[in-house]
Amino acid sequence: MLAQMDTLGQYGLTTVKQYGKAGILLARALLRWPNLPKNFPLLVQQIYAEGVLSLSIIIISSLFIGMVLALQGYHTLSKFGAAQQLGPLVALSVTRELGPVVTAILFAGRAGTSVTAEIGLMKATEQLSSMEMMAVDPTQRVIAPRFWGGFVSLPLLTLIFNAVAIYGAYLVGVQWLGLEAGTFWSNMESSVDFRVDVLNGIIKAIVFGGVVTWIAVHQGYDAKPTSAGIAAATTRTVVHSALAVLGLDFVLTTMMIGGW
Amino acid sequence: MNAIVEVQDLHFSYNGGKPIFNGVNLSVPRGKITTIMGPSGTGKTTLLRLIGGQAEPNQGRVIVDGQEVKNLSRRALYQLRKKMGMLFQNGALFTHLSVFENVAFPLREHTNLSEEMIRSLVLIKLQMVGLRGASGLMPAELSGGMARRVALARAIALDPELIMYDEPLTGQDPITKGVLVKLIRNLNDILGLTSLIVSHDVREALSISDYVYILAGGKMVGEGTPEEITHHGSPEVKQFIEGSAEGPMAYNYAARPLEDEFVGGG
Repeated sequence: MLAQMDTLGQYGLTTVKQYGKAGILLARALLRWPNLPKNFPLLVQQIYAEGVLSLSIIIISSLFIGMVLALQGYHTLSKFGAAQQLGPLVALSVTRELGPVVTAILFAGRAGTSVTAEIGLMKATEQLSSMEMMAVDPTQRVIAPRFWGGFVSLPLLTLIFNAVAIYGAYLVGVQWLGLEAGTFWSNMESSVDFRVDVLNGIIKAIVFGGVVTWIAVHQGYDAKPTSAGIAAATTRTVVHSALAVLGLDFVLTTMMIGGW
Repeated sequence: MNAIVEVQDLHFSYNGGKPIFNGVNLSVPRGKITTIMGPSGTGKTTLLRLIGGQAEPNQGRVIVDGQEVKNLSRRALYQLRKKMGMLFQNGALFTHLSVFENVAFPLREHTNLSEEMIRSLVLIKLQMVGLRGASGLMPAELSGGMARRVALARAIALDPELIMYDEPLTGQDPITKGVLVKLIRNLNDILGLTSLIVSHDVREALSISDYVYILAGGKMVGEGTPEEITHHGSPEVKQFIEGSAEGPMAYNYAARPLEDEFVGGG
């Protein structure tokens, strides 16, 4: 019994310590006036590495998600004779939930893992130490641009996800199943509100962008500098990101709900 | 001030674990090559990390260039580090940058020199280590010895006063060893540097050092000029210099008696 309590206490302490470490890392990376001419090119590089290179997986996944959503939605809706409501169904589920959540989880798998592995390997090969010995702060030079890169990229990727998913639904609903294009678009337009639906989705994406990249850079920076350590850190990035995104999504939705 | 690095009564352990240093004293005179030798796992690299301010002593003082490292603010520590170069065991080159960009890295970070000036400085440093022709290569295309020489060029890019070498010779072929030894000596004398080397290659280290310390079991067990070390009376120093398994430093990891292990049904 005592031993179990001891283990529980140890576990609690380690967890709290991890949060503390992650917080200090983020504060050190962000709470300093950036040297813009030097850091801007680094940021652009990271937006390319994390954002642009994630485009293909985001576009292809969103197209299929939109298509399957339309297929499922159409058959269920037509049982009630409400197939003309397919546009609103797809647009609302994508902009409110699927867009931000699925993009964030895909992003964690595509960009988060590579950020973690890269930072972890830089640590294992003493590149971070040597940077410190050259009087260059790795939190500024390595962590900050990677954090901002992901933070900027994820909301943009979410917007692209939303647009492509709706197009996928249009392909299935209108082109294949023969819904009338006018009904599809005009019903969608009249029931999707920019502020309540689209903007709230973007706010979610901004929160997820911060959380996922924060987890990714922290796991990399805190990784044990061995091959097993980096492997474990990369796994944790995906697992923690997915859990954090799904949990936060629920919290954010409850805060945003109203007038739906 | 004569000594650039002064370590007094240093005690250290990682996160309260097994103690690594138990009262180490060390003094590195300016303009000289000082070597710390000792068996692997005695914390030679840790000592360099303590001098560079990457770890803090539990007790005792580390003074570099007249300043106690532990008391420095982050900013002051970074100012101090600009006067230090460090060569890591495997070079620790930035793998995503070319040789040229690796050497240019500290210059770009800490100076506002023109591109032309940076180019000249980088090529001069690369010429010093004999790798001007390799400036376009990526670190993955270099041999181990070349990578170390590039790292050396990067370490001297800002013309430091002190340069620390972490096992510069380990795992190198005899020719590369010879080249590196000569290079370390030349850089020290030509640039007026102070060198602090950590090594366990007895022959090479003795051949270039002005002064040698032997570290074992958390303490300095011997010190002196290479001549004095070779004829040192202490059994630990003798064992290390001669490389014998018998002596005060245990070669076998502590274990149960053999009888128990094989006969005692354990």
